[in-house]
Amino acid sequence: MVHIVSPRSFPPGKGQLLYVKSKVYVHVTSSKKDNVPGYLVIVKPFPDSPKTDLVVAFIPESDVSQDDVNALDYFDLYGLDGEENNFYGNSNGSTSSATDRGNHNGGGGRSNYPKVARFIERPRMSSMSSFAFGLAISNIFSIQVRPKTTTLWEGSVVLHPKDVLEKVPALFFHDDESAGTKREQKLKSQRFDPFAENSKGGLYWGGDRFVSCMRNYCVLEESTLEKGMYLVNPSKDDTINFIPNVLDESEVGNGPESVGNAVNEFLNGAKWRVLTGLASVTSFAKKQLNGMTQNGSIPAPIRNLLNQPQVRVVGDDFDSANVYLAKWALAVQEEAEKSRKQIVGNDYYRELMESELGNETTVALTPQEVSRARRLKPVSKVEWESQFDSSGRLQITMREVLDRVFHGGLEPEARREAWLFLLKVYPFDTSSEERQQLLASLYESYVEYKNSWKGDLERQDKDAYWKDQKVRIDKDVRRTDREIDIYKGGDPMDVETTGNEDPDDDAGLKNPHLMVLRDILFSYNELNHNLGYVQGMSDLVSPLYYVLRDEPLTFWAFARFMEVMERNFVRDLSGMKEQMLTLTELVQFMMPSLYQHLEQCDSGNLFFFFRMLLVWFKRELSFEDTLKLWEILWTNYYSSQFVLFFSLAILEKHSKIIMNTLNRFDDILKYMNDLSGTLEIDDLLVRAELLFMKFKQVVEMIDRRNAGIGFSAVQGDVDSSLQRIPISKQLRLLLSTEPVIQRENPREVGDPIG
Amino acid sequence: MSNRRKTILKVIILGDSGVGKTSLMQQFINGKFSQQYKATIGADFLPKDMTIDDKQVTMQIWDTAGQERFQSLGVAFYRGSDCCVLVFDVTNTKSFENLQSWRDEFLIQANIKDPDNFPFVVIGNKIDVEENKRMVSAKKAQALCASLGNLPYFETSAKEAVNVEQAFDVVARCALQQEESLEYSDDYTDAVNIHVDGDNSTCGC
Repeated sequence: MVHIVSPRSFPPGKGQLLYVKSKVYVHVTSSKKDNVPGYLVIVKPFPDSPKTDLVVAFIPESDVSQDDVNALDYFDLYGLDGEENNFYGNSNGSTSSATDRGNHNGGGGRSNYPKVARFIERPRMSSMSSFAFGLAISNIFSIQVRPKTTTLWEGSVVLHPKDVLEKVPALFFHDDESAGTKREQKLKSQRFDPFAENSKGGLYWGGDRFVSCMRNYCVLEESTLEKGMYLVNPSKDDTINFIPNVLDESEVGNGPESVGNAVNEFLNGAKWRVLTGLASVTSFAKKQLNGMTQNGSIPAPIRNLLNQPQVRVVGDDFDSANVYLAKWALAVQEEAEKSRKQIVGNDYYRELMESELGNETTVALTPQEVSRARRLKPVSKVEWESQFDSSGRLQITMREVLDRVFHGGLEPEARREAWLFLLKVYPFDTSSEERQQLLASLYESYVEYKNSWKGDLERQDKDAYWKDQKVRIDKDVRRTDREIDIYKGGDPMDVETTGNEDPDDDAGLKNPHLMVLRDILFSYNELNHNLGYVQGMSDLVSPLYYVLRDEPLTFWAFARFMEVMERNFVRDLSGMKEQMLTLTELVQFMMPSLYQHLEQCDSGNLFFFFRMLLVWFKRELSFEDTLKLWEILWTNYYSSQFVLFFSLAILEKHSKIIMNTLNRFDDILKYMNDLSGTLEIDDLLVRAELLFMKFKQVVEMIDRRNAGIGFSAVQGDVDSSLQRIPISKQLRLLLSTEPVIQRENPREVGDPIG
Repeated sequence: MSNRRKTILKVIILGDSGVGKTSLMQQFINGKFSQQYKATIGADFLPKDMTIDDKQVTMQIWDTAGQERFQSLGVAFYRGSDCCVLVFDVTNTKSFENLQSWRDEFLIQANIKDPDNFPFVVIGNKIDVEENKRMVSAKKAQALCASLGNLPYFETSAKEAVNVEQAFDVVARCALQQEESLEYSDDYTDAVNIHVDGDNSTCGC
């Protein structure tokens, strides 16, 4: 028989304790001496407070009067039933579900209020001088619970207020210091009870009771998207959305004493209070980080810590603060959207992106992001060679090589050898001897090949297609990169023609290098007879020959390059159209307002990118920069279609000007065409890398969100105003490092070439 | 409607690869010739302000790639053109023979409503070459132009700046005429609508 104890009046200024846990800490910095001990309490502030007005509060020990210490410690130790009973009304010690679930509707005669009335001063909701805080249950959106594990010695609880700008620190349960926890632990071990709560197998810890106690006063629904995330009195919309991942799993696995973990703990403990405060709802920006760290409203120890270089570049230890911030900013936006209850397709993208990437994407970067996407010095020949052992085998992983080349490019002297690897003429896992053999066979087969078409005089006479192609190649080779030293003028040995060559002179090519280009293109025209030579290919082969300076090797390197580039040249241009369309989608996805502007200016098809994509910016960049961009693109480091992110970076860099000053199709076209020769490749590569990172994050975020909707749909609880945000196949393909291969269809029957 | 924006005349240059389209455009707009033009990929576009009979116009000249493959891009490029320049190389018979198919292709791609009256100008380029290299006579070219509907015909040298100015002057006049004729046709409706925001009265007066 349970007696209902319900005091009619409270002592003045006091509230009734419903739950207490002692030795709960705020970890202010990575140093233990800065930890702030206190009590986590649930308090009924007034005699007539409804459950939603109950206050969950953290009271630092330093803030507690002696009277209250007695009350708190008593309650911590004995719980609501007092000394003679076990804990919190679970008097039989058998079935706990009745109290665990709580009678939220209050339908039964049963109350979950404690039999033992203890009162303390009504906790403060916030404090400027200490870490005290309090939240009414109605103001708590969710509770993140991270139980103690074998590797994470201190379990923790984070309260997420509904007001996304209000942040409270994570609370760590130091079980071995808490009298109440120790007592309960002892009781539990005396009375083995497989049906008791937490029978899921986890370690018992101080936070267990907090969740079950909270359940007496509100509905807690665990997110299926994220373990340990409980929504408090969730609305229908909340249930549909759940809340996105704001925690990194990497936190869990680290040993408690490692240096990395100290930083983790700092981030854990302070992030809701500080790190998240760095970001505004509208964007998270470098300048904001700087501004916030100088902001006096942040407690000094945290401010100091934030300014420490190791914290600023916390980087990989914590899945990096930048990723965290980015996720957080997305989460904030998502929650804000959710509260508006009208998330529909493009509007969602639009507003999400506007806040996240904004129009001022140049400043919406954290230092961490910038440092990750840094450019390195180019790989020198010495550095390249040092990666190989005495047998000529690579000593580091291919991924490491690609990473290095992606972020630095190559010095000219390193290119010849490295390009053969990047273009897959040489497999990465070969020894130098194997490569020598390979080289010999490549030479042999090329010479054989070339001789066969050169010797086929009959076809050269009769085959109209062949003749056309020959004329076309001849014509284009003559106008390929003639400003580059080796392609200048006629035969350098021929004094008469030097510097005075007419490209339309039918007397034939005199520049020996151009003659090689022509032969390579003839050979390729044969090798891939379905595709044949198409304008633009001469632009692709010229840099290869310039670097390799060897006809057979250039031929095979070009053939490899063309495997990827074939989609750009197929007859119906479907490969180009597909890339243009993907780029269009990417701009819509990442920079919706810019896209809208382009659309209004009749430029939504972005076709000024046609030439740029067709020959990978060869016409827009200097020759030297072209070499660099290509070797970086060949790494497929992030994406096999990174060239689209490079394109996106150009738009992003110029988006302000485009949106503010260009309002007509021809203005935009002219502006984009005039960018030729002005593109700063290193800056654009950094932007492209950051854009890729953001793209990936957004895709992941939307996937999570869609998964949440899917879950709710299964539950038959779907709000019609919510839609899945589709991510097209094309966009998703951008995350792949596997090249997109498209081959030309066989040429039509009756065609002279078999 | 008094504050109409400056007239924009859109001109497309078509013709086989290597006949000198880019050279003609550069000669006309910049007065320069270079041996080092590269094969055009996709399309290039250059504007030039001109005065035709006291009327200020901006010529938008579109230089296109010669290889047939890239013609399917045409839809994007050709729309709204006011004149089309067909170029061939007088030393290259095939480029001359292909003129008609360039014209037909353009009419289809640009979705020209009244093909019979759309202005084309034909240019035979590279007349600077030695006479013995010339493969297409002026007579032959004129005959073709007559058969295609009395198209204006010019023989030019982009290299030596012969007749380029004159040819493009006619191109500009044809384009202007076409543009003005469109003002009274349905094709122009869209363009007019841009200017009647907030002014829903009749636009004819």
